Amino acid sequence: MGYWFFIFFMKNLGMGFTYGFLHFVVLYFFLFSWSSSKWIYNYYREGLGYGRWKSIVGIYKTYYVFGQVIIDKVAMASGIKDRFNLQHNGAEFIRNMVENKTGGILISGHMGNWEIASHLMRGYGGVVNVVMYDEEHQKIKKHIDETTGGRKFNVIPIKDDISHVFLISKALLNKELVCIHGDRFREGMRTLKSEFLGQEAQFPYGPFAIAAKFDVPKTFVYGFKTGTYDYSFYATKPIEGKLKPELLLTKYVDEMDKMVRKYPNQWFNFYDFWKA
Amino acid sequence: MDKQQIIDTVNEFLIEEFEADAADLVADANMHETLDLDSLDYVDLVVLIDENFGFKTTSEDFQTISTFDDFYNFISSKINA
Repeated sequence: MGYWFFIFFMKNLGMGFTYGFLHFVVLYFFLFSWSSSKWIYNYYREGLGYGRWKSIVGIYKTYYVFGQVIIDKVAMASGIKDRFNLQHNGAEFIRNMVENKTGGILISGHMGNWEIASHLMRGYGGVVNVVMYDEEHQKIKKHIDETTGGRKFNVIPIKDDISHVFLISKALLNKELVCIHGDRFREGMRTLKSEFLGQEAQFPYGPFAIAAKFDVPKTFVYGFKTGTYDYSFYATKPIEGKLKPELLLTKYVDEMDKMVRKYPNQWFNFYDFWKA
Repeated sequence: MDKQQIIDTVNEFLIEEFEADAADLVADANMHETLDLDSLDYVDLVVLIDENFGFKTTSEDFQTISTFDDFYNFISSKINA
């Protein structure tokens, strides 16, 4: 229902009004959603070392930017992307993967708006595959697909029957681009440990193990909101060759650390990230 | 490529990449159990098949494979079709 309201406002009353209305929603979550707010507070207080009040304000800012990013995703998918200004940092690395037909693995995280990368990559002509827990977003996806004509990339859903492993492998062998998040996992999945923001955290083993098995370029990609209608896209210099999952994870965590300190309000893992 | 060549190629890979004992690679032995395959091991098998035999596999293909002999026969049926 919430998504319906925002899509209606966006199409009929404009982005500015939609962002303004968002404050009412954010206020509700800020005041009543302690189950997620406490982990956002913990991220600011324990992870980034903010003071108490700065961390509380950070909660509101995080919810607001998160809401804006969701609105922006729908706007871009609806074809309103021309309203947004996109600064490219390292986009040439992605273009090279497509033009040189090497394919590549793009590892991102639940920060900012990684989907803007897909709009960039569409322009390069490459086939983009995004690995995600598709069933978790079926209702929202269905609604967005109905109102915007669907996502403009292939989705590889992660399932218990491991079919996604074959689809990822096939895509990489076909020299396509595969995008995957490296910061979340499900209970029971194999994990790797690494220190992040001063505390040990667990990361999914799968993305880094798969990336380690293929001799294709690997890059870490992010898209961050830098203004009302401004985004900055980042892609790191590709890592070539095969390397151990643990080493790849270390590089990933180092990059993520840099990014959260640069854009602290755009960390969107609203749970106990450092749970043992 | 005849079946023995397929067996030799596959077994060489399994010994090297999976650290399998050659003595365990018996035709009627269960491949999944013998190699203790997890989901990520299938990535290695997919790459093995693509690089050595030139075709891509799906999860459905592996549903029909239980023993090593099933695996050899599957590859043979694909490349000698």
